Amino acid sequence: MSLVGKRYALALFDAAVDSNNVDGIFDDFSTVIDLFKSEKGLMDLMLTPSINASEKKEILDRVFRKSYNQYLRNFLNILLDKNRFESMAEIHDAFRQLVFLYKNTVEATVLTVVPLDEALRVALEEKLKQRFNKKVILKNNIDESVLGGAVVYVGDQVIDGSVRKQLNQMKTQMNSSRLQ
Amino acid sequence: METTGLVSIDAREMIATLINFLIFFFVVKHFFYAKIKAVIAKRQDGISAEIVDAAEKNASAGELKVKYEGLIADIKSREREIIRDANAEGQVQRHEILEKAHSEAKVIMEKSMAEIELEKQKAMNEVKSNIVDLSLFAAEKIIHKSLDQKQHEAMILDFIDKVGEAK
Repeated sequence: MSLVGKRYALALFDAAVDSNNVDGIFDDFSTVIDLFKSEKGLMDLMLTPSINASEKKEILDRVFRKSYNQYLRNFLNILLDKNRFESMAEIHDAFRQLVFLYKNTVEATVLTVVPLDEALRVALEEKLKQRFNKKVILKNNIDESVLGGAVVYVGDQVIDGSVRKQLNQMKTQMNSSRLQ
Repeated sequence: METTGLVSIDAREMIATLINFLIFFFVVKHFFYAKIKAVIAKRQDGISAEIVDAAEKNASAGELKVKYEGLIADIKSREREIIRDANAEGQVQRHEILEKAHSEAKVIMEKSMAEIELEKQKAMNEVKSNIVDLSLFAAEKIIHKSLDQKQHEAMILDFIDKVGEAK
């Protein structure tokens, strides 16, 4: 992550803490990011050099109809003024890390063959919370190569309880045994 | 004139001849004898010197002959010694070459055997790996087909329990 991304994210984070609206700004920023990711044409428009910054600000106001946070709106305007709009996704990543740190929260991804129902999701989040002493935001991805069980990724840690892992262990043991 | 035989003696003629001879003798003796004598003496000295020189040279040649005969004997002895040493050295070298050849052949043989063993082990490992891969592939397919939703959920629940146990 670049220094620019961290610097802008820290500025927005300070503003969010000062305004006591960390969750609101984070949710709005995530919505904005999702929209720009799904509407690539809109991002291209915002990066077009022939359109000046004030026109781009008007476009943003029309798109979001002034429904998003004033601090975030000002922040996006600054990005337009400073020609840093293309770094928005990077800034959002850095901002998310700061918010998670602030809220003692950690993101986790769990790979399973079948989708987790709500009860399993809550149970797993609770167990991970106990293990890491942090609130866990769980994302469930379907991956048939897991075969069974689950694999959880939390930061740089991996908790592998998959059938795939058991098969791999079995393969290693069988390969390491000497054939007479 | 008195006639005599075919051979006669004339006393005057004899006296005259004798006088001539004496005159000739005294002239020669007076004028040439010393010079002739000196020439003869010089010649005699020269011959004597040459005889002495020849004798010395002869003696020297004898010494040299003895000396060179000794040297030739030494050389022959040395020659025999060199040939003997060369033969001995040749034997040693032959032995060393044979030893080296045997040693190299042994190393090549051992290396070849090791390579054969390695290749054999590699081939066996490959076969084993293929069997393992095939077995696990089959196991994977069976697991994939045989597990239903409930069994998957049961395994996930089991995993969740273990997540709480191990830190």
